[in-house]
Amino acid sequence: MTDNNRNRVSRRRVLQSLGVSAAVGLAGCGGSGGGSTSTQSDAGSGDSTGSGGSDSGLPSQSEAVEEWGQRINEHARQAGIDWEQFEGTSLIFGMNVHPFTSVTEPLLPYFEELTGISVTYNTFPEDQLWQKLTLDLNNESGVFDGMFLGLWPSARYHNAGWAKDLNQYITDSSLTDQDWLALDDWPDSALNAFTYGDGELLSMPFGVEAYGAVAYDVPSLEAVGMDAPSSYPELRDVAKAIHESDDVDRSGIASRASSTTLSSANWATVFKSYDAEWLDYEAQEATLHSDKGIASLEIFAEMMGDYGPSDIGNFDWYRSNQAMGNGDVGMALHTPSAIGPWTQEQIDRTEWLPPLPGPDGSQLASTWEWGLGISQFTENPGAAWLFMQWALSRPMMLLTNTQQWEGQAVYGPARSNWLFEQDEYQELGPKESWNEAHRQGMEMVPSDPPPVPLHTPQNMDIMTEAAIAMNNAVTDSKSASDALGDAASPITEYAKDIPGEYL
Amino acid sequence: MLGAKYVRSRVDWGDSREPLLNRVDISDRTLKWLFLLPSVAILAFLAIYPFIQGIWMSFHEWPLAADTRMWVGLGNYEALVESDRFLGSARATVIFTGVSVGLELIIGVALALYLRSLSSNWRPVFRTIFILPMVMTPIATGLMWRLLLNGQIGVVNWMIINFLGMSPPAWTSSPMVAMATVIMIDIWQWTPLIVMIVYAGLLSIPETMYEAARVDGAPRLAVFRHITLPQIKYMIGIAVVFRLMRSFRSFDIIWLVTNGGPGTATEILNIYLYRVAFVNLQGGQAAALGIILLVVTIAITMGIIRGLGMQ
Repeated sequence: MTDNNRNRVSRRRVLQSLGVSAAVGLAGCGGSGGGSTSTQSDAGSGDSTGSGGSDSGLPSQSEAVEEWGQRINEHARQAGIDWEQFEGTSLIFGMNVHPFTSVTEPLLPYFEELTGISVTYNTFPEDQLWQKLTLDLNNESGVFDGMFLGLWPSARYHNAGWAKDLNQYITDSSLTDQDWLALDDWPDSALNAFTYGDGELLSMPFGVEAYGAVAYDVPSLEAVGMDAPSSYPELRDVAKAIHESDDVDRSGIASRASSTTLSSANWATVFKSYDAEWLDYEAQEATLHSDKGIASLEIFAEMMGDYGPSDIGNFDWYRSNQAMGNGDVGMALHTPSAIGPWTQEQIDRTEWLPPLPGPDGSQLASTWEWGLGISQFTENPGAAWLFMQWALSRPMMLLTNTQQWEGQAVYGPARSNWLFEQDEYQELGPKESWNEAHRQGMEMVPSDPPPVPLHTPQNMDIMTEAAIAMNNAVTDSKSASDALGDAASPITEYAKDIPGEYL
Repeated sequence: MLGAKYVRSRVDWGDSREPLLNRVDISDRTLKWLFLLPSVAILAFLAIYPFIQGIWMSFHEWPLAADTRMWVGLGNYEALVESDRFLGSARATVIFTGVSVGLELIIGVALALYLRSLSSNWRPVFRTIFILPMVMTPIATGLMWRLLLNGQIGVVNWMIINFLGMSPPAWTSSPMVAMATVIMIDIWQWTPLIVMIVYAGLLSIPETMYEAARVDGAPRLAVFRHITLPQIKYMIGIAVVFRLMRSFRSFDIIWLVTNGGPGTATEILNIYLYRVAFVNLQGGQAAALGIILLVVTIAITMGIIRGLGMQ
C-alpha cells in the first residue's frame, strides 16, 4: 500500500492541495467566524454527472441561459393556466448548495418575465439548510415560501405539519394544467415515496437516486484479470485484487462510510439485499442486529476497511466521489445520478453495474430523492406552486440533466419516463451503462416497507444510529456484531416513538 | 422608579448653563443603574431570557418537529445521565479538554519562556509566528487541516510517505488517532493564546528578582520554581480558565475534521448537543445537555479560580 500511496499522491496534486489549504487558512485570518463554509455535501447531493468535457465546444452560460430561458417559457405558455395571476408576488425558497440550484438560479429572471413573480434563492450547505428550515418552520415564521425537501427526513416534515399537501394545487384547474404537468413522466415510486398519510404529496422530486450501484474502472479490472463482479463476495474479491495488485495504483473500493446519517445509504442497499430488516414494525423493535444484518455489515466493512483508502472512515459523498473521480480507487459503491466532477478520462474508463444481488438472490436498493415543497406557513402557496411547475417542467428537467453550457453541473433524472426517450438526452446524457444502472437500481427500490424507515418521522434518528454502527465496523472500532448490537437499543427507543399512523 | 416623569421631577428647570446631568437631582446609585439600564435590558433580552427559557425547556419533552410540550421534570437529565452515548461524550470531552489544555499549557509556558529569552530583535518575529494560528477562524482551521490530512491529496501524507518512507496514520479513521488528530489541531491553534498571556505575565516580573537570584547562585530550575512560576501563577490560571471554557465548547474543528467519528470516538458533549438538537430535534434534551455543559464549565473554572486564590 505504501507504494500505491506513493504513486497515487502526485506532487502536482499535493501542491494544489497545499495552495488551497494556505488560501483557506489565510482567507480565514481575521474573519468573524461562522458562515457558510461547510463543503460537506452529505445526502444524495451530487454535483455533476460530468457528461461533456471542458473542451466540448459548449456555449457560455449566458448564451445558454438566454436560449433555455426562452425555450422553457415557450413551453410554459402552452399550459392552460394564467401564469400572471400572482403578478407582483415575491417568493423566497430555501435551497441547498446543489446543481439544481446553480442551474435554475440564472433562469429566475425568465420566470419573473413569464409571471411577474420574483423568486429569490436563499442557499445554504445542506446541514445548515436543515437547521434554517427547522428553525423557520418550527417558529411558523414563514420566511421560506418553499424549500428543498430530501426524502429521508420528509416524514418528519409531514408529522410536524410543515409542508403543504400538493394535491390541492394539482387538482385546482386554475393553477394546474394536468396534461401539461404530465405527472406520468415521474415513476410511480418517485411520487409514492413522498406521499404520506391519507395520500398527501409533500414534494415534487427533481432528482431520484438509487444507492449502491457499482462503478468500476475497466482498465483496473483488466489489469488484475478479473471480470465485473456479480455478487458481493465477488465484489470483495475484485476489490482485494486491485488493492493488492502491483500493476494498479489504486485502492480497491470506496463508498461513503462516515458516521453521518446519509453515509449509511450504500450499506443500506447491501443490508436490504442480504434480506435484513431494520425494524420489526409491529413490535416496534430494532432487528438490524440479526444474523443477516451482521453478515451484510461484515462484508461491507471488510471491503471498505481492508481494501478501501486508509481514511475511508471519513468518507462522505464528496470524498467518495472525489476518490473515484480522481482515479484513486478501482471501484465505488455509488449512486449513478449523483456523481460529481470526475475527470473526463475517468468517465471514459468507468462502467456501471446496478446494485448486486445478496446471498439469496435479492436485489434491493436504497434510495434518495430531492424535491421542492411548499411551506405550511407561506402566504403565497399558489405562486409557489406556479414556480415549482415551471422549475420542474420538461425542458427544465432536460436542461438539469444534460450539460448545456461550459461548467454546468448536472443532476438526477426525476422525469425519467419522459426524459430517457428524448433524443437530446440520449445524445448528451451519460453513457448507456450509467442509464441502465440507474434504471434497474430504481426498479429495485422496495416500497413496503421502504429500504430504510423513511416512511416514519424517526427515520433520520434511526439511520444516524445505523450510520454510527457502520462507521464503527468499517474503522474496526467494533466488530459488526457489537456495533449493530449497541445500535439496537437506541433504535428500539426511537422505534417506540413512531406514531401509529406511520406503521 | 426611573420613569420620565420621575426624572422630570428631579431636574432643576431654572435658567442654567450647566449640563443636564449636573442639574438632575439623582443619587449616584440611581444614576449608575440608569446608565446600566440599556445594557442590562439588551443582556436580559439576548442572554438571560433565552437562558431561563433553556432551563424551562430542559424540564419538558420538547420535540422541535411537533407542537407537543410535556412536563417531564428531571426526566431529560435522568435519561442523559443513564445513556451510554452521553457518558461516552462526557468521556471524550474530558480526554479532549484535559489533554489539549494540559499540553497547550506546557508548550505555551515553554514557548513564552523561550520568547522572553530572545533578544529584542528576534522577539517580534517569533511573537508574530507564534500568534498566527490563533488569528485564523476555527472554521478556516478545520477546513485547512481537513485538506492537509486528506488521504488522496493531503500534503501531510505525501510528506510522510516521501520523506519518511512510512505509511501515514489513519488520521481520522481510527478512534485513538482521530482523537489525537483533533487534539493536535486544537493545540496548534490555541497554544498561542497561552503563550501570549503567559508572556505578558513574564514581562511583568521585575528583573531585580532574577538579579538577586543570580547573586545568590540559584540554579535555573529553582529560579523558575520559586520566582517565575509564583509570579505568573495568576496569568496561567487566567489562560487555563479561558482555554477550558473554550475547549468545552469546541465544535467547528472537530465537526469539520472528524464529524465526531469514527463512530462516536470524537463526539464531545458540544457535538452530541448539536446532534440531539438538529438531527434528533429533541429540544428538551438538548437544553438539558446545554445546562449540564454550562454547570460543569462553571464548576471547573470556579474551582480553578478558587484553587489559585484569584477571587
